[in-house]
Amino acid sequence: MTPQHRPDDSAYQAEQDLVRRAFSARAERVEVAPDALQSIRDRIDRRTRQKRRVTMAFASVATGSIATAAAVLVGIASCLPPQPQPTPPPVGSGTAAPPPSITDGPAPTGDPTAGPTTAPGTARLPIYYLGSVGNRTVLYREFHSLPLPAQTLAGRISAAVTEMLTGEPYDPDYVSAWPNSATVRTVRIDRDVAVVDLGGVSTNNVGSEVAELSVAQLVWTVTAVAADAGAPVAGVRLLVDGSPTSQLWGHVAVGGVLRRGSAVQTLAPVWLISPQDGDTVGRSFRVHLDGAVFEATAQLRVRDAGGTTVHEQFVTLDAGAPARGEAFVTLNLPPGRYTLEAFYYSAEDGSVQAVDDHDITVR
Amino acid sequence: MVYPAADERSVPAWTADEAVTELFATQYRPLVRLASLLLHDSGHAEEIVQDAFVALHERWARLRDPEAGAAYLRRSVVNRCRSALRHRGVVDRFLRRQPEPVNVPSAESRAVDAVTHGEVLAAVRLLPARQREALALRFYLDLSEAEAAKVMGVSTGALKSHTSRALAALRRTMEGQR
Repeated sequence: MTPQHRPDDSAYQAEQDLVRRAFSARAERVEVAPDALQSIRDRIDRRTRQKRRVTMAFASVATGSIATAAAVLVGIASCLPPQPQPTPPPVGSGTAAPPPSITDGPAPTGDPTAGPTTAPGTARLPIYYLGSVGNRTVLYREFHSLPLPAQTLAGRISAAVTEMLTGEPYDPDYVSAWPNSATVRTVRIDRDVAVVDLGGVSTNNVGSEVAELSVAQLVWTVTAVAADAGAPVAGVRLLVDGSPTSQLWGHVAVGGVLRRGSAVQTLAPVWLISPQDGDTVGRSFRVHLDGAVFEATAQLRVRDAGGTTVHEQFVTLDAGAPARGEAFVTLNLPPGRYTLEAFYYSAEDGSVQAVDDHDITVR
Repeated sequence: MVYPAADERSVPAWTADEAVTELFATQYRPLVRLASLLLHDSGHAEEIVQDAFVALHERWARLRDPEAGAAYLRRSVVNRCRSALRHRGVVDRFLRRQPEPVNVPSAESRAVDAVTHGEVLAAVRLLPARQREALALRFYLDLSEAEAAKVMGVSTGALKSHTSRALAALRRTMEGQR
């Protein structure tokens, strides 16, 4: 037989089948490491943290200085001198809060890098943070991908609230003003109310506006997680160290079921939803804006790394104030580092208002 | 008053983290097995596939959909195996001299098969890298000719020719052994 001889179709088929069976027998002997997914996540986390350190340094806010940022915000918001927080413990991956317990799932971990876990997947959860617009304190929202302690609504809420209390916002302009000792003890769903039991929150050195907004931050986060999961709740019942409490920090009434207040009063007028701060995007990417602005007109501006404006446009949201509208805009930018700014021009004096800015990298 | 659920209006596709978790569930094991067929080394195979997942996470914003993600992983794994083999020429030449370990079949009826598999795999090791890739993509991952060609970055015609030359070479080797 010459090497060029071409066997008939059935012989050719038999040959392929033989190769198939040999491959499959060999492949079946190859098993994968049981903690492979965790190894991949750990490596991704390490890379992300390296990148974030660069971003944070760029914003001249030291990693993990939430307490400092909060103190500064309190100073701005209450027009009082900033008051230092009582000896904040370092906030970082090594100091995650003790795991809260969940009534309908296994004990969770708040730390995605805490080694192999049996966490049933991750979810992208909405987390609200405090930010300032002029001299007002308002809420902004980010989405964080978090490991879930349990594939239940309580598990999702617990993961989101733990992140809200102990994690870091991507945008260094946002803060959480809950005390550093705050932890989630339990979360359970009682009919259409989420019952959230927090520990380590009985004292907090904040003014009344920040105190009110911090409670609103909790309520908006919990209700957003529930609505996102397709199981909306009407409100939140707050327990402190296992017991109902009527007021918090000498400022806020927290008895009964807490519900979302007015969006216009509570939320920042303009949100730059995505890309989020620190994101890396391709040359052509979609910007998602949301806000309650006069005549539904918001502005989108792009600055390069040197601060020069390279693009500005108005964006028409799909609804105007007092309703919140949203819009999507596609931008095309050459690779580099940029700052995206979403804001509106004051109808009174044309000044720039309510800037939400995110630093991003275009690859 | 019910406020428009600003949070719920835009349901994005997977985030990069979700993409890694979801694609891990369906792709990780077959890709490790593919890499170990290409490399004859399952320890290194896992490392290569994990590299591919880390790269996928970085690139997810551009890939966005699950199909594109799976295709990217396959391409990435094949390319990484190729360069690992290049950097490992000496080791590889040594490996080619080693007989393929033969499965010890538990049932008498499988004994003949196992021996034949060992011969086939030993012959596969002697093939040039492209031909081995073509066989593994077509007959282990069961990709179509067009899909396999895309993963290898060659035309469908070239893929067909790699495949048929590989099968002809196997035939010669195995006939030579009998």
